[in-house]
Amino acid sequence: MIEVVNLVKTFGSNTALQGINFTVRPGEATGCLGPNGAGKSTTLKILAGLVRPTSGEVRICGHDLLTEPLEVKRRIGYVPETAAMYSGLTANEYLSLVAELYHIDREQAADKIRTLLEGFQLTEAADRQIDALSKGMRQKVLISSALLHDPDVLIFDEPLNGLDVNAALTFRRLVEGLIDQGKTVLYCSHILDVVERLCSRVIVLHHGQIVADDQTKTLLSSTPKGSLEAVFQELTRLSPEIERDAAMVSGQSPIGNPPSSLPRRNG
Amino acid sequence: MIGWLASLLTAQGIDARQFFALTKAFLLSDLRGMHYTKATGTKPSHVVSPLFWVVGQCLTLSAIASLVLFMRVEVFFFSFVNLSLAVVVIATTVLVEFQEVVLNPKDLMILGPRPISPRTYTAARFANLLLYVAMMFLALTIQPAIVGIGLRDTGPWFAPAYLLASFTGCSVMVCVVILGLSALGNSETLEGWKTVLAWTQIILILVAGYGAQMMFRDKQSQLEVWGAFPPEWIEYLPTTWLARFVEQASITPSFSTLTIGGLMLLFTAVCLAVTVRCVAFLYKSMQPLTVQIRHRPMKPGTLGGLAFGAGHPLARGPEQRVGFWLCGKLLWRDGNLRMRSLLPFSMPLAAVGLAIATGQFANPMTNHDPAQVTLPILAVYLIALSVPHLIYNLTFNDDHDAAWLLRCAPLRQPIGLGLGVAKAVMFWIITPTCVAFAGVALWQWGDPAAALLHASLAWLLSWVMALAALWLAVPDLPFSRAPDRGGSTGPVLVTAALSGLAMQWGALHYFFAASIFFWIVSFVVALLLMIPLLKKADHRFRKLAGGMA
Repeated sequence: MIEVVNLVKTFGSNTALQGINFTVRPGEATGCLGPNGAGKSTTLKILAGLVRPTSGEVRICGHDLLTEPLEVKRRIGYVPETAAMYSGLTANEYLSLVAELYHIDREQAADKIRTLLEGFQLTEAADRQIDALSKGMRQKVLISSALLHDPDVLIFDEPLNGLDVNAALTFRRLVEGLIDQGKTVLYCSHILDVVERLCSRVIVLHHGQIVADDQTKTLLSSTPKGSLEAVFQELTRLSPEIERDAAMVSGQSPIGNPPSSLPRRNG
Repeated sequence: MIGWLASLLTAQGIDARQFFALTKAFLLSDLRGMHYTKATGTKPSHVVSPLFWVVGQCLTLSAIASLVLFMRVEVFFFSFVNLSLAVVVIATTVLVEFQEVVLNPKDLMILGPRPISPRTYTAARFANLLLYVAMMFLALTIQPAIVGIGLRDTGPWFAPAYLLASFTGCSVMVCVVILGLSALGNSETLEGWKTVLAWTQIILILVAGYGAQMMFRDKQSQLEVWGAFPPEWIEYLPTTWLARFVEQASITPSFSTLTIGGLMLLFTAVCLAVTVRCVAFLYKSMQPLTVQIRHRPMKPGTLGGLAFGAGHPLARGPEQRVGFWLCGKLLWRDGNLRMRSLLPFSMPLAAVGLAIATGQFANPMTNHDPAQVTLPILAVYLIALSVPHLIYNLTFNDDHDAAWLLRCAPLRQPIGLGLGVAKAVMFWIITPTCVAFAGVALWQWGDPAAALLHASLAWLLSWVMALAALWLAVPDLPFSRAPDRGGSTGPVLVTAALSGLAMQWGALHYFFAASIFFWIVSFVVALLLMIPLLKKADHRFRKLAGGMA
């Protein structure tokens, strides 16, 4: 379970998060949407223990992130936006390194690594150095590394980056399986239809604030088009001046305003 | 001026607009990436680039060489030593710090798809390098050029003659280094060659160290005699030819010296042109290259854990195991990291090599002649002093982005990562060195106890220095920062403080080496020092882990 209360993050004079609140329950997949610079990745990095919040409270599986960071980190599997890994290591070596960091029993880890690599069809590439793997293969290794220690909470930041159609389908089935097992999933992506299919709940961030937090079905039913795209567009619409300028640049007329019947919330 | 330069560039087939844009981008990204804070952990407002430490080193080296030689030697030997020093220093610095300025493989990803001709790219990269080389050239040349005017047998033309000779020597050396590196950059065995380069660099510094210690230790005017009647082989060195030119041109320029000067300029221009052409060709030929696939199967039964071999009992706990293993793997596989890290190791190697070569490797426990025992004592402390540099450099790595894994992991003891790295350095580098030192000492002294005591002290002090480095010198978690140009010199103040401490210890070593109490006190003090240092390092690493661990 993820509980975020009044989370604030400032970088100098810039406020990335303005006191956000949300909860993600076990067995629930929550999508985190928002335009570029909305604060999604900052939120995810705070939850993963990569960035220290300015104020506010984060509890994962009942443990406070600031006072019990190790308990929190043990329970989290994180897939960052960029597949940054030690490129001089092989996939097997990298996953063994992760197993060591999470104190997994060696035999258990070896079995899990084999299973994950087989599942992602990486067995043949397991002994290749990571710098020789394709982008999609690296992403698969990265996802495998997040699942290796069987975490209760999974945080995915654009996990489908570079994955082919088959791998994306495998990943989707994997996440569905994880949800069925009662895992807590926070899923951040710009691919709205995957979020729509996978997540039962959606949070929309805009300018460091939560502008929508509701069941996916409720959000979809609130627009005539019935798509997350329309919801997203309505909630994170640019100012009319910027829209007009953007339309002029693309040589099109400004996009018409969709109906404003969406459930909104602030902070 | 810009218009004139643009016309000149266009005439050379270089797109002037792209050239200016690329040059500006390269310089800005270098200078912004080299904040002192990034390398040393000080405040961002202190924008003192590590590059300035490199320039400072060049200034210090040339000042020492010029002042030590001033009024002691003739113009030829003065010029020869200073020119040789300039050429060696500029070559090693380009090798270590600026090797990727001219042909950066990462540029292929960014600029490869853009409509930029190889010639324009190469010209912009050369302009980028020119800034650094010009700064180093001036730092290495100005002081000898001024001091040399006051030499006994020189005249008013010394400064221009010396400047021309130094310009030629430094430019040609830079061209040679760039061509060598660029050729290797296109090779499949680049990583192996980088090791060769690292050791070539160490040997070059050893040669420079030889000259330096001769200057300080010469009491019987041997230096003057050697300079006045140099051996025959010296005539084959290019810096000798340049020094002969300075000697002839410094009094009154004749037609022949002016002709030689003109030919030197022409030769330099040809070298630069050839280098630019070759690098442009290599850039073009590199574009279709793909990554070479390397298979590295894990040993049977090691999947799911980290394999250590003989080092296994040393690393306690997962954090130490990870630090130890990562350090071993990355040092073994990453040529750049190896090159940067092994540089400080050249000094103890130079001290031992020179002491043996010059017959000055006496047993400090039985011999009290400072000329005979200084170098072996120095070697003991230089082994220990190389450790902070080694550990500091292991913070920087091309794969620094991957450090998110370490920051996200539930590290119970963040210091374990640092200790793992320190243990790897001790296990893979320092222990074999100390064993080799003990072997050499035994061979030279024939006294097993003295050899063992000296090697053990070097080993123990290395541990003290490693912990001191983890506390004071390391700016972040291991392998978590991008390499900085000019950053391999390390934190200067920490190095100076540790060197001062080691030298005081060395002085006591010289005076009391024959006493068993010195050894007992030394070992006990070293062991006791480790306790507070370990606590401080632990505290530091908890802070480095972001207070979240």
